[in-house]
Amino acid sequence: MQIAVLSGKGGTGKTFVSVNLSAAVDNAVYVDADVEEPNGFLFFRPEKTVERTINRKVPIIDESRCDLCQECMKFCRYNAIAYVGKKMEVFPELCHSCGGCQLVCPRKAITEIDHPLGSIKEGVHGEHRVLSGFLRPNEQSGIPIIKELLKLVEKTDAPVFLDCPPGSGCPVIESVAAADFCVLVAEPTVFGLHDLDMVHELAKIRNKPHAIIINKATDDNRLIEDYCKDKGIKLLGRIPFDRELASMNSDGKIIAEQSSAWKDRFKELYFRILEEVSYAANPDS
Amino acid sequence: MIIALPADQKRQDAMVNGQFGRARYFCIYDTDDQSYQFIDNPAISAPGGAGVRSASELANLGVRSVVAYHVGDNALRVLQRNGISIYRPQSATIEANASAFAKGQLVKLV
Repeated sequence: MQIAVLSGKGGTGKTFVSVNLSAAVDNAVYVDADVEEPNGFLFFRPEKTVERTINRKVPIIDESRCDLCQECMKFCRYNAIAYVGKKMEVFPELCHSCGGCQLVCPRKAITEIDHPLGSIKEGVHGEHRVLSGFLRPNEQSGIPIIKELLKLVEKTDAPVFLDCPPGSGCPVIESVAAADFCVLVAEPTVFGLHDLDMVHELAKIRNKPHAIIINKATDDNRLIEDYCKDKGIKLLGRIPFDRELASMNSDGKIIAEQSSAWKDRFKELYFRILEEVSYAANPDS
Repeated sequence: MIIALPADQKRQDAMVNGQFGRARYFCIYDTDDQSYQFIDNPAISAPGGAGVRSASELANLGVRSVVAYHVGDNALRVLQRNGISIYRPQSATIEANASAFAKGQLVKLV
């Protein structure tokens, strides 16, 4: 089972929630799909880590065949091929790997080669498998890395927690592709609420059962509680805005491993998620 | 010699635009007959590679030098491969820089 943890706004606590859920649940697998800024490994510090490069295809032009017709350049919406000094030149970092230039080339002068996009690291932390994608700086899209990460966990029987990218764009949509449930981590600020609403729309459009966890909850406002009530979304729990939690977290410590009380609280959150998953599967029971 | 300057408006007294690849317009100035021509930047709404696109367009128009505050890495590569030099603007407006270029008063960056 895959449980995606997402939030819309960055910095609301996706990594905090998904790392601690993973650590609290027996044999759970943690996947950091926020490949642009992965930070789950700062907490898990896995052992026996294996790294694999993820490549994507970019065009290479055979100058002996190219007659400088520029059809490839005209085709490319991303301007990844330019006519420079009597030859066509490829800008791999602009290329979106669509393969279109190869199709439109009348001289069959274009083939494709591998271009490093990033990597996937996998290791173990106690009983937990932990995986993380890393996008190379200057690359446009980490989606192929997210797809590879999901392939690596699609067959496991263990619960998988996906630490998703922020926002509600393509990388997030890709991350939740196979998710059985979406946990929306909400921060009780106006900005947090705004982005929560966007990611809630996403969960609805993708037909994903979902519920909310409030992080950094304070008693001085009920922004998220009111939103849940208004939209009829289940509130799974509240994690308080607490100096000690923040301090442990900023030291790279896993709260569920530091305190048995917190381990129990995260386990309880997991059981509530399971209840929601089974309710979504059989709404009449 | 034909030179290009990124421009805010299609006017000689317009400001030199701070951007290159996503400048709204380009002023094409011919030092031989002191003529000004303004074109829309075809890359203004490109989903990516705006610098590459605008630099290629200028190269196709026979531009030999560019006067701009900032040119991105990709645009720089296309300009350099086409043998186009880059000069730093000295004053705010298009026409002041065009005439300073013609008099050889601008500093060549690359």
